[in-house]
Amino acid sequence: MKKYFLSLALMAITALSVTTLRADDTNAPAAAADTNAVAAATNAAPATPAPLPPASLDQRIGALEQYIENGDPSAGLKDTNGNITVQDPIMNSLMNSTGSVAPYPGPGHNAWLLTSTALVLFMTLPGLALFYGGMVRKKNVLSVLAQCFLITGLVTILWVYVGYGMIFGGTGAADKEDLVKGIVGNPGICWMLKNVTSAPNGNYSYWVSENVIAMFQLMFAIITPALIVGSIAERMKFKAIFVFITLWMLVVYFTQGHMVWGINGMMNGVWNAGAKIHAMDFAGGTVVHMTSGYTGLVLCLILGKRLGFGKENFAPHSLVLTYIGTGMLWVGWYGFNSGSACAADVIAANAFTTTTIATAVASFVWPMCEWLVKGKPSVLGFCSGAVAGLVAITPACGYVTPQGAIYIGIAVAIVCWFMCYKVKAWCGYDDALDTFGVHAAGGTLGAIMTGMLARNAVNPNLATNLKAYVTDSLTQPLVWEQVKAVGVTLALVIPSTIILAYITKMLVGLRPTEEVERAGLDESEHGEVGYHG
Amino acid sequence: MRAGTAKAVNHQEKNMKKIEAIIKPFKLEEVKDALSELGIEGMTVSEVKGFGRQKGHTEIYRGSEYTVDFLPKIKIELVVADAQKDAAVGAIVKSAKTGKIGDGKVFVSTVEDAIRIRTEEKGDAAV
Repeated sequence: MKKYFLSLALMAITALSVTTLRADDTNAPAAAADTNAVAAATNAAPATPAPLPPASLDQRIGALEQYIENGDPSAGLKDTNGNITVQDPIMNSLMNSTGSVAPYPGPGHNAWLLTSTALVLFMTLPGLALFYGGMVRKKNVLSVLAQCFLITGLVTILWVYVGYGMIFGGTGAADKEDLVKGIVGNPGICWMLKNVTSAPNGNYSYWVSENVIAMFQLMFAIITPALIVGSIAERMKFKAIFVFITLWMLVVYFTQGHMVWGINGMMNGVWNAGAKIHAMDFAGGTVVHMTSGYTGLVLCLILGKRLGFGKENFAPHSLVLTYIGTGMLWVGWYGFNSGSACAADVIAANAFTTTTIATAVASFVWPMCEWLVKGKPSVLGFCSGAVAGLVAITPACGYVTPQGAIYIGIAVAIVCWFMCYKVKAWCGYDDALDTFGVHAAGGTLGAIMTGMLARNAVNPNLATNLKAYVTDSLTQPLVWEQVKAVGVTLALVIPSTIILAYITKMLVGLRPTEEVERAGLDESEHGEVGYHG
Repeated sequence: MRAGTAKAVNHQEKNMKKIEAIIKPFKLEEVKDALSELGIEGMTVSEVKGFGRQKGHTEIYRGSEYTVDFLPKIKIELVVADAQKDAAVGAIVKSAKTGKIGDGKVFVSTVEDAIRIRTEEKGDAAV
């Protein structure tokens, strides 16, 4: 069985390598040109004829002002048909993956996104790894660390080949490009990040390099499956995680991401005028937290409880590590939330503010609940409160006011505390590290409250496609759209997880043997021990 | 060359005694000082867990409650000549006592032989 699995993996890698080498010959997205043949492309593309008159000083200053306002620099350089009619040094000769000529990336915006990308990676390695690692028993600490790192590499490979393209690829002509229009993107469209250059892709950001956006979003794609680890910690085989996460990314994450963030996604209410569900998700409340949270619940129900659950001492082996991880998560989350503005602009500033407030308030309220009800505020309560606040503000941060952030912080702390403290005990499921209680519940609540608290004054982009839905009241039509989005998410996530879990079980099995689970996963699966002496 | 039966072997009436004491961890310094005053300089100390009649405590992590029965204690082991035994036990009991539940216990047993590794002395000269 082991040899069979290894040969399968080897064949997969060989196949990928062969297709990679042949990619240059066979893969060419509809409108993109090879960057080595810019001259040929320039001659062929009607929008850039040979000598254009130079742009006037007014036009050039106008283009620069767009840098500050995070607007489209080519807006003042075009005629009524959308063709660029003047030559402005701000327009680069590099093409982006949609095949259009793009401006140079803006240094400030790019710098912020570069930093944000690093911050979000920091959230997984080692933020989440330590946060979860400290909460498991000593004999399983390395298994958590290994799973986080496995996911990092595995998801990166999937991302570069098909993931980025499936979520973000294409020009926006969904009919021609998507596998399932508005729902499932096209795996071949940015195969190996072909044509993803340092030129911005105006569908997602005017001033940030497309490759930076791709790397930034990669970090989101990495941390989402890593969250699932929290639900099934200490009792799922490494092999099973490998297989399940691969399938899950392809079926669930790339689909959900496309629906919510793809330029022609059917749930992309802010940017897609033709969206079916006019919902909004700034940094990933549905895409990241709900998908991972509900998957975690389904998996932990299928896997069953850990041996000795309810009888033996499952106390966290190091709350010190958990605390360290929490701090790293909070700091890194600034990149996650504020970076999702895809610019260093007023929206990013608002997102930073609301993220801080909601998180701090939630980290305060959760231990207060414990103090009132149980008599002692705990360190784990502070850490959990902070993470819950971060989760709930994720979909909301670029759309709500600081006051809205306070309400979100208070609400999520109480709700998630209740989920972890009471509901889990009532229902009896073994959600080891409370991925469902914090991420699913917090993400769902955050999505609904985003609907209630999004305000036009905060984000002028809402006026583009959402005028009818954002009316600045608590019961605005947006709320119902958010509920619909939650429903669609659940409809995708829950059945898919069940099917994929059983496929994984059939292929490699899910749980380790009783001996392995009792001895601890570290030694049996990784041949290592976390602490000596 | 020394014969095995050097002057260190004392065929005394009574053998050496081993004293094992389980005490509350914060009492260790006091007990050590009390034994020093008697001239007893050597001991082995280990961190152990245990319980007698003292109940454990409950820890709560996000709503999951765990009752921890075992409490941290310190175990002191020392071997003394029989003549010192009563004084040593008395010193330990006096310095480790708080009067509250969980103070611990002292056990005394007989030791067949003791050897100092460096000098190969045996018996009372080794302790």
